[in-house]
Amino acid sequence: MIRVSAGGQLKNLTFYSNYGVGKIDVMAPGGDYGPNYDPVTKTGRDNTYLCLSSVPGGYAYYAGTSMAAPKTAALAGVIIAKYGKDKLKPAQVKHIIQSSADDVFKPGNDEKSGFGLINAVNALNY
Amino acid sequence: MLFSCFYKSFSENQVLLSIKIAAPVSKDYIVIFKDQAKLPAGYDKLLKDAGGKVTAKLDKLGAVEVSSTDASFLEKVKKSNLVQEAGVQNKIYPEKPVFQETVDLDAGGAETAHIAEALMTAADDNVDVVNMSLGGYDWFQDPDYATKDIVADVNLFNRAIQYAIQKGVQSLVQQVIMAWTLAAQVSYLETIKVLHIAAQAAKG
Repeated sequence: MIRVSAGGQLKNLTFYSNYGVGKIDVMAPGGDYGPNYDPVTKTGRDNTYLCLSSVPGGYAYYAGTSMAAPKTAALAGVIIAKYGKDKLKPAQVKHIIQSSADDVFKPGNDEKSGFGLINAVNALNY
Repeated sequence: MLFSCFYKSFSENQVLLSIKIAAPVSKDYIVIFKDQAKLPAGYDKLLKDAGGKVTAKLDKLGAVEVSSTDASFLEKVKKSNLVQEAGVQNKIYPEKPVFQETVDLDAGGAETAHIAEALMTAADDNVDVVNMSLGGYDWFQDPDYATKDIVADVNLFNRAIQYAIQKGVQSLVQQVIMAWTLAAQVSYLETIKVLHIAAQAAKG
């Protein structure tokens, strides 16, 4: 199981994402409303920080860990595709995703991004 | 017993009085037994005696989905030493899986037992990646929902996820509130099977 937090365009943890020590494995783009958005007053919203996502019927800009989790699922998919079906164990796929992530926030594993922001190019060159 | 009365226009000068006896309210429950691998002997009698009717068996998870009109169903069931956890079943509203592997979740929404079944089906069918994005488990974060009645649902998911992991599936679970679904980055991967389950709302 890979537990994913949602990051923003500025490599920040989004205001809506869960986090916690030992709870997050990696962070992936989830999109948010930008650095000036106040989730309490719901002011300062900038939609250019949302995440372009494919949705049933086309594409749309959204924010959510529902944007972040499938990006990590997709990365798991291309890693498995690279090595061939049933060649890697789940733990190996997870290890590649974690080890190839861009370390953000505190060095190493931290409570907001786990091992960091997923990096598909790094993962496929791992 | 509840009664409801209403008048219906029958014609210009006639009125039909109709008295309806309200049907007892039926609720769906999840009952998880202590043995995770199978349903224990006597489980059906236990549930029947408590006023429940089994609507789905999750044998591999040691759990069942039960419908009951008995308001004290949970109380009765929890007294049994066969039962680890029992609670009201939540309903979430996932979109249909959109990738190669199609598990026919109810188009209008799905009970958690159905999601658990989808996970098991995917695992048995050698699916490679499962993306689970079910919206927020409000009941984790809101003390009002953190009751023992809700925990059975979560335990059922945990068992299903562990089952999938043991089968070698990459299972991704996101935890946070927000819904909407993404995304077909992997849809072109013909050799890889992906099950995608996403929620439109955290709770029904």
